[in-house]
Amino acid sequence: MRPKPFSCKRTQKLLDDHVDGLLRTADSEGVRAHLEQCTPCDTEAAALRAATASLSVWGDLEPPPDCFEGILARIEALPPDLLESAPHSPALRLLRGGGRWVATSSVAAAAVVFLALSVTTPTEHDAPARTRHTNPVAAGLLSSTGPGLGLRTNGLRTNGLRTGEVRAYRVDDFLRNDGLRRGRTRNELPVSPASFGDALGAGAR
Amino acid sequence: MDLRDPTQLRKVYEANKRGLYNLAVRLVGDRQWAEDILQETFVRAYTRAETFKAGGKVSTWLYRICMNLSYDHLRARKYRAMASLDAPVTSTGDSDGATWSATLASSMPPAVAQVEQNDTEDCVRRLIDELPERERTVVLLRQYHGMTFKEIAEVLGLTARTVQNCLRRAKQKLFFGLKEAGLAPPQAEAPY
Ligand SMILES: [Zn+2]
Repeated sequence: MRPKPFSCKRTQKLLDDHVDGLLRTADSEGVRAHLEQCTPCDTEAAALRAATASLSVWGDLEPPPDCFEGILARIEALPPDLLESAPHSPALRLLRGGGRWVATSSVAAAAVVFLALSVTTPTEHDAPARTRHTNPVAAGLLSSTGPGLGLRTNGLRTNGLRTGEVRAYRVDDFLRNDGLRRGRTRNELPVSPASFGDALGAGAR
Repeated sequence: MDLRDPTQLRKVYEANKRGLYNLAVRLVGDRQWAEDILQETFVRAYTRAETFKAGGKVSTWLYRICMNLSYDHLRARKYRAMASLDAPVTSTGDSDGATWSATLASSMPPAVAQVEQNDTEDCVRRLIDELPERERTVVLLRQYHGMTFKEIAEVLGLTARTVQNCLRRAKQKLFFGLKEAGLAPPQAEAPY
């Protein structure tokens, strides 16, 4: 028996799933029956299909094989104070040497100084305190893969970064600080605007 | 689930590495940055394990972290490009401020880049690059990660309806762009 065509409204609601092949057979047949008799909906379906088909040009890539070891090295490299006060971590990392390009720019430097003064206090959601040497993942897995992987420099992994390059999203971590958005109590970092540039300069690798 | 347990961390990594890495590559357009983002995603998952809501899907949570880090990267890149107008930064060999399609091409080995140099692919990458952040992410999560509207909504913190509207808009723009470039199949007429 021929399926009863759906209405335009119902078809439009299901059209994306229909084009992507995600509908149940019964729904798909209802949509198809509608498309056979409705030119505007059928034309739209063809356009969606064309757009979807065009996306198939883009294949998947494999992450580098040593990527997980890099994660462990980063976890191992986390300073205890960073784990104690997770929201401060971007600021601390920036001060520890991630900010070369920021120091070269008055615009970004001004933004960072402002944000450095506005970082929130740790909250009840912060990660519990741990020391580097009792870090279970790093201790467990690094020891299981043998000592001295040597992936760490200055507490920050450099693998995957070009010389002189800085993980730029650290700066924006400031901007995204939950406390800034939600207007929690603000607290000053132990860095004054005057000393901030020095700290960046001294810390930059 | 406790990501501080090494075995579990590895298991979760293995299950999600490919999807997260490819999302990052497609969002930021650079393999090295994508690796960096993938690693940082798991470091965040480790240090902020308490932000994972019990009963939720680990993959959804990880996608959200990865997506936010990718956005952060893109925004910081914009700041950097802006800043370079103010005080030119010595070239470090990267391509900040350029589109991700350009940076992706430049981060590929020459042979790969050569093979992938075809009109449709370039055009599609450029068109996706031009989409607003949210629409771009919806298209990527839907197309390459096979997520339902509901799953995407959870990652992005939107309603499923909004996600569906985003996808439709994005595909309309893609279609128009292809059409304009003479790359849409002839049987597909512009419906809008
Ligand atoms: Zn119709």
